[in-house]
Amino acid sequence: MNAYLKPEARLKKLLKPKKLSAFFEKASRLLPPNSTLCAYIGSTPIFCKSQTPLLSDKTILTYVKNPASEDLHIGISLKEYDEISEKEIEQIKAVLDFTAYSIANHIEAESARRMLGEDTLAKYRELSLLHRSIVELNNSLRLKDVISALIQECRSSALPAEMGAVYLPEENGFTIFDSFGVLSADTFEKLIECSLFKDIITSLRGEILNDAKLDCRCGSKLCEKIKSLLIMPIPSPNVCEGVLILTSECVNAFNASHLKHVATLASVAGISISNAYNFESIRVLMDALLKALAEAIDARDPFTAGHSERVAHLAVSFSRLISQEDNFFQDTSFNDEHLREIFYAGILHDIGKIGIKEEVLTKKTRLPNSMLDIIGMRMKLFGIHNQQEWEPDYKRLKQINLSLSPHQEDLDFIHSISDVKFKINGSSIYLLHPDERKCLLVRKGNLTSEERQEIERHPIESQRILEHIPFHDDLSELLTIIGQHHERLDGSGYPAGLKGDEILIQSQIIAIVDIYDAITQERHYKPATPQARALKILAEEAHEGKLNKNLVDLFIANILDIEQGADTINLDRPTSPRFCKIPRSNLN
Amino acid sequence: MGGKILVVDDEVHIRMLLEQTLEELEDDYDVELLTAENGEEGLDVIREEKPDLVFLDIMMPYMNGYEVCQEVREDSNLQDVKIILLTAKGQEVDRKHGLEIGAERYMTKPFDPDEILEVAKIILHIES
Repeated sequence: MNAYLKPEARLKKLLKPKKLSAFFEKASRLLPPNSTLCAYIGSTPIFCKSQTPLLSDKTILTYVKNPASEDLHIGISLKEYDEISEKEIEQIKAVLDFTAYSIANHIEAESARRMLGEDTLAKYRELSLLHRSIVELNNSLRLKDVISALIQECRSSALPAEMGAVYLPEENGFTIFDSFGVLSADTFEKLIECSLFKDIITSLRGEILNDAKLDCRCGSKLCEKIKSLLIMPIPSPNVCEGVLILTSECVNAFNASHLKHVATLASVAGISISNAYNFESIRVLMDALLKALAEAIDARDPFTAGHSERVAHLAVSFSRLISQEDNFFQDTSFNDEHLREIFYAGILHDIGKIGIKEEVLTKKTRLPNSMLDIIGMRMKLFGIHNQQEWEPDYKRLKQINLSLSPHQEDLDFIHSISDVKFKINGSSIYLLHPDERKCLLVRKGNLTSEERQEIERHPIESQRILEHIPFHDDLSELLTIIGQHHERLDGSGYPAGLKGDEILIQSQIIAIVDIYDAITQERHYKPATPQARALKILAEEAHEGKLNKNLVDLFIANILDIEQGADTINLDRPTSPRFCKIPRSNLN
Repeated sequence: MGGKILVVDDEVHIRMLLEQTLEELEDDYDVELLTAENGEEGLDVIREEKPDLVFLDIMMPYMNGYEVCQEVREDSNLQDVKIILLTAKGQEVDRKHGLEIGAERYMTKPFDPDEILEVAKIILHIES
């Protein structure tokens, strides 16, 4: 037993010198004055009361029972032994026996206390590990943070690992997500190919290999630097979220308590990872749904296809620029969440158009060609009937039908022919019906006031549709931004006719890029207009007090950068495509 | 290496657990462990043995941990004695008070064994 230790140290392992001295103190009072009490490990006297016994002394020894089976005796050395009566000797032996008995009991109790204490301490340690790790691992819902907290904990807590890595499932199987220690990625990547790795994922139980080379499941994949290895699945209910591997350069580095420790950590990490995945999945799902909605609008009208996305990209690019500008917009700064909100406002700003009558939405001309044909027939009939030239008038009408801002003479012309009425076979016919006249008399654009009202419902319609989606707090202004994107600073906008500061800056931004994109792209009713012309129109609108002049100036001055920035934005998939893509049930 | 650590707590199981925790240092780094069962005894041991580090419970009969701590700080012979208050009281005001009267740290029960060891190692300048 502990033969390599000094006798003093061996005794100390059984009981504390102070305690032994207290026993001896009490016992010595019952013994003759010339006697010496000593403890013996083997034959060495090591802890003697008063003095070391002389060789001439006669020593009586008694074994002290102890759980460690240490060769421990206590002895009493007597001078002038021969002069002591037999009765006294008996008494001395009885005291010695009693002392040995007491010490043995104390040692037994002490060792039981130690073992209980060790168990309690181990539980204490596990509890505090749980306390600590739950707090640290659940600090964030981002996968990256969770894993790095796990790595940090493996590094700092009492684990004998010099290197370690966390593997997560990717599309092409498990890959290293994070690691610590000096390791060549190559070495750790090889571990994935071990059959041990697959065993762990299937069994969902951790393992220790204390002489890793001897294990045929991975022996050949290891390098010199990995002698011992601890491999632990990171579980959440029924699924393996990942695998944690810790390695040591020493053999026999890990024991059962390390395995338990790491298992505790891994199960906490499993919950956090699962939370992070779920949180991210909700985001991805939300993103996908919103994009699908945007697609739905675009699909309805090929001419506006991509408009939503372009507005979103331009708006974010422009907003970034505004954040950096510190003259007029010193106090305006958009963080990532804000930019995300602006992005979605862009994507969804026209969603309400789903609820707008299609013929209004896709109207190319004042009157549809079919109706114009009928008017043509009428004019021909009138011409034949009245023996008049009709074709020039019809031609002019066709021109006016295409026009977005007809001249006053054209309008007068419409007025003049709409009064014409003629009779055929007793029934009287107007050259133009009042409805047709109304369409042709529109001063600007090609929509009648009723049609315009129909179109102008779309911001409110957008809000109404999106109201059903429980957006997160970080998208709390989304509906307002969308609802206000047709408001103008001078109050001439719709639907509420808000003015100036009543309109969110985000809405003012969307308004500018919305106009810009609408002008520069082709529409049903017009071809694409060059960029320079679009910027000029924006400047005019700003001059008229409809748009924020500072914003427009900034937009015009930086249009190239903004366009370029818009091309590189990829906010719609803020995180890796790992989420949702992996059929998680197939991981095993 | 080496040094003396004193544990002062009136509750025997806490004393034992702390002893158990610190025994690791006793074996590996030749640290001497002392215990005392109340504030008065604790103060006596501190004066006699001048330990490097004292884990001191606050709620004790006769003389509480704050009082012991104050006495120690007022004694010019005991300036090198570092005191860590160990207590079930977790109020922020208690912690502040403990630090104000010159304790090194204020740790709450149930304690984290690893934290206890870590702190002891730092104060005794033991490299782990």
